[in-house]
Amino acid sequence: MEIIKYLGSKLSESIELSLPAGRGLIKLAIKDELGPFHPINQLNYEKLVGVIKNSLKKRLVDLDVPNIEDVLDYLLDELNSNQSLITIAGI
Amino acid sequence: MNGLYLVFLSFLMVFIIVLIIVGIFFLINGIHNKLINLKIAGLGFISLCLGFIGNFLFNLHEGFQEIFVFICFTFTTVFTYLTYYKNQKKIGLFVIFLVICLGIIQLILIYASLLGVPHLYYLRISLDVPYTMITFDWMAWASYSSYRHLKNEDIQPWIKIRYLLIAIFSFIISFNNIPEFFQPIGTTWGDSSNPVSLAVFGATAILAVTFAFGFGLAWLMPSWLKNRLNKGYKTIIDKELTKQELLTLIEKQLKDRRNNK
Repeated sequence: MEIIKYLGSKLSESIELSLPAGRGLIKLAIKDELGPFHPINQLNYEKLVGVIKNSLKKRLVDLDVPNIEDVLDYLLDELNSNQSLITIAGI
Repeated sequence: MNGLYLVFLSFLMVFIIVLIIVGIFFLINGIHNKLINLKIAGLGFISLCLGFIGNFLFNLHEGFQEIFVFICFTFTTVFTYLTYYKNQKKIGLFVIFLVICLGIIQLILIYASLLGVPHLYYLRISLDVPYTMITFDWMAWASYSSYRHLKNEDIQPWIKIRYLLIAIFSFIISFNNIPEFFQPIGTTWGDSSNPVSLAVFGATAILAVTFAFGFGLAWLMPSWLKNRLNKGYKTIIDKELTKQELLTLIEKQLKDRRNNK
């Protein structure tokens, strides 16, 4: 899904991870937040905000990443600016 | 003149058919993906077609059609809000409120005309301009802004083209009611014995069919075209890693980063 790829690349950029690792971390956070069987095509804006604010934050804390709040604000900004990808790229 | 009328009429039929197909496409995908914005857009486009069909095929009056135009415009504005600006509640609700107000004014003026109140035509179509433009130019602007944001990002090219098509053709349809300013008063819309009326009908039909073509292409883009637009683009397929392998990889990369500082 394009929005996951996009947020993954932004996460990679901000904490200097490889692209696959950034995407993987986003996917992991989605599974933490919504469960392992949640269909990826049924992600919406509110669910992604929840993923970033809750489970991704927890993952970043566990990984001892510095400036977590800045990273999360940046990702939420990116999600807000490009939320249309969920629909436009999703069907 | 009659031949030309039939050509323009067939344009409108194409417009209605494409819009019904796009509406159904939205509804099915909205249900499947549990996306409320798509369900709303689907219902909006289908309702517009019902209005046209009622007016043209069953000779239900213009007021009947306008009710469905109102539903379509309101739902289209809600779609734009839910798709592009969900985090901007104040602006979104303001635009929706504005469109609803202009829609209600349109309905009042049309029904007043039908009841015999004179001299309302130019007032009505003058207010129809902001009504149509706010609805479709907002969508055009939202789509164009998103395109500008994403054009240099690693996104599949066909998706960027979809944004552009939505922007361009929504902009085009926002001029849909401008020809109505030239409609001779007291003449039936599309009256083939009146060249001006026929020209007005033709201009509207051409705008409508152009929109249908571009908007339909944006949403119902065939796979071969997507593939062609994606030519040269490398689709990313991530290696399947277990949760533990992934976490080990991330920890290693973060540790390397710290050591390099």
